[in-house]
Amino acid sequence: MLETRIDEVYLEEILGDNEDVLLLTMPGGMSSSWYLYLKNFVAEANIKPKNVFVFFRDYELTKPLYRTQGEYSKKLDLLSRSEEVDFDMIISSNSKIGDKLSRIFDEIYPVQAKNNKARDLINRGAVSLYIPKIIPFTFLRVTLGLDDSDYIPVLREYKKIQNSTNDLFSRKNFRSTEIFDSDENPSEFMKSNSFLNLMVNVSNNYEIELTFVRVQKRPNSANSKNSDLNLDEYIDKLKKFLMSHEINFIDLEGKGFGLDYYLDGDHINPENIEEFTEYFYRQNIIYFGGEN
Amino acid sequence: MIFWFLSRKLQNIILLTASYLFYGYLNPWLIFLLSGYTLVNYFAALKIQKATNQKKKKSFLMLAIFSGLFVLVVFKYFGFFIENITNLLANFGLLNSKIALQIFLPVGISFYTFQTISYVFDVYKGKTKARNNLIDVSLFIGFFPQLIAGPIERANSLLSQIETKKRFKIQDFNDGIFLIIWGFFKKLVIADNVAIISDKIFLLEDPHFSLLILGSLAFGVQIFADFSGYTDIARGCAKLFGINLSSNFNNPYFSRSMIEFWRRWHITLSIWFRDYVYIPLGGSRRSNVRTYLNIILTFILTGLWHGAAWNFVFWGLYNGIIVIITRIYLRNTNFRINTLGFILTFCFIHIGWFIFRSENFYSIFSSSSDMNIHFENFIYLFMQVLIFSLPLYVYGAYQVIRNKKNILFRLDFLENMYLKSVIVMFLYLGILILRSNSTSDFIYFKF
Repeated sequence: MLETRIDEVYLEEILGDNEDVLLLTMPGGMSSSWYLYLKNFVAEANIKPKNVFVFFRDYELTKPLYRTQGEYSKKLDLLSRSEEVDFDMIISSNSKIGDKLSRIFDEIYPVQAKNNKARDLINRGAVSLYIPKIIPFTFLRVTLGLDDSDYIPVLREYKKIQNSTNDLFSRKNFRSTEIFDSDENPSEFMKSNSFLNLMVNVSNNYEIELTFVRVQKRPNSANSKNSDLNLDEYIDKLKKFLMSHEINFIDLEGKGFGLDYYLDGDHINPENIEEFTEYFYRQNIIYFGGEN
Repeated sequence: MIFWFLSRKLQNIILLTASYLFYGYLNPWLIFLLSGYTLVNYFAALKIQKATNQKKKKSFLMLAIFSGLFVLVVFKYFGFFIENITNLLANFGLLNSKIALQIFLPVGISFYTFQTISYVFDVYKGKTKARNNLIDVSLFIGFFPQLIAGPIERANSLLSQIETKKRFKIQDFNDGIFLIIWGFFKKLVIADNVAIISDKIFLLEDPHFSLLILGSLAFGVQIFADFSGYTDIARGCAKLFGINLSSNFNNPYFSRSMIEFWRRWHITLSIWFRDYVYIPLGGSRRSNVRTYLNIILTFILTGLWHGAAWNFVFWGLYNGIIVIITRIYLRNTNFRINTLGFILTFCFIHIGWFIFRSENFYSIFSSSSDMNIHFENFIYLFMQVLIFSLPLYVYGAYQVIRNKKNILFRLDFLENMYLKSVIVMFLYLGILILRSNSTSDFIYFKF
């Protein structure tokens, strides 16, 4: 997500005065990887950064198990030290028997890492009646490195159908305000077994100026906000929790970037990256030494 | 390995211990419930057999049936009755507020209640003998592979196997492994992936009509894959111990009439209701009107068995009506087109699933959804359901072809043990790669 929103070179240009920007990002990274980056890279750096911004969306800060298995497990290993006691404790305390067995299989049968790719292939197969090129172009992209100019338009068309279909099931269309895609109860998110608490502790212990940046989920097809009462309540409590620990919180949710701004639920269109970078700078200008 | 060398008695003790540990792991109090059921029916059956006159036999039969049904009704339906009665009183202003009562439902209770009733009833009818061996009877009632969600077994089938020494057969082992893996594939890959679409559709406030059709189709795949998957896992586990459980499904979606569907879907439950409700009511031996009433009542009870909610009652009623119409049609005309029958039956089944799944199915009549859905959205979702359900229909078609007698190209070679082992490996790989990220409990655990 982050790599599609912030152009670090452009941000450095805006900041000027020999300011450096470093993106610490892992494709598909979640709170588990953010914590490891904060603890093992930022906190351990000889020269501490002036500001650290963690971008998140929805309930990601308190979904500790999300994207910690399969291919992500291997990537997290690369960010970890030989022993990660707190990290393991969070994973273990949140894991049910099925999760634990899954991790064991993960070690023995690495094919489980292919789960996301297999599903994406099925989704592409499902849309191939409308976009006959999607499967052959996907194959050519993977094997022969098909050119962007041929591949991206087909990918956009596929994402467009995927997005508009997902919009049918946006939260506001459901009968109840039941959270559909989160296990978190808004009143319980402050429980100690999430990476959010660990990140707050690292920030306080190492005196890191930490800011959590909430980004907007792609709006619905009707260009309306993609949220619900539960999420709003959750964000409200999160804000208060962070303030009580003297951690900054910026909500970019209200900007109102339109539907066409986005490639899909997580990523904006590549051509909008500079505009978003500039927008991010203006929203956080006080942290960069500017004035509101 | 050691299991096969033990005596029959020790084998049963081990299986019984495993069954009670399994059930107790879910909730330790359940062991007392299961033991209670077992003891009541064990003694009732013996008393029925020893009774010298019909009146005494009937008394013990009624005692056993009533006690089982009473417990079932309290756990499963008491809350439903209270809620509906208080709703009615509140609507008439006779009560200030409505009461909703949630009673913990012991998992599997619907299944082993029916299994125990079938045992005492069969003893009463002389179809089977009452057993003196408490361990054997306990194992018949509490055998862990089929304890939670069936198949609902008969004494003549399961108990007779329990009373013989189990022996290792390589074919049984091979078949057992295949059934278990195929069952998990159906559950984790097919059912749980299709459930993502089905659940979302049925959660919508005001869905488009096309989505409702898709939701019914998706749910049809989900419930079949889920339930038949569980049954296969149960049968596979039982086979590993040398026990053959009844098959619960026979390609139900290839039925050419609703009458045929109910001979192919949840077979053990259908047969149970036929033998212990429909036939004692008089079956089809009375007048046409009485027969139709018997059919309606049997199906309403079948619907109610699935859960304490009005949509299940209406689902049962709907099936009863369709079966009656089919019966009248088949008896009064010789006109048959298999393909037309297949298509119509497929439609009737899925209309039924819509009623079964939807909490407020009647709202469809007043719905005027302004949901903005395009044809490509529908196709995209439909194709996802189709892709995931393909293995189910391909395997079903294979079984239908295999069972046909007059066919030039038989597919018996696919039953080869070594080829099956290779298929098992691919299925396992499929589970690892394609299993859904959001798994849920087996649907029939709720019943």
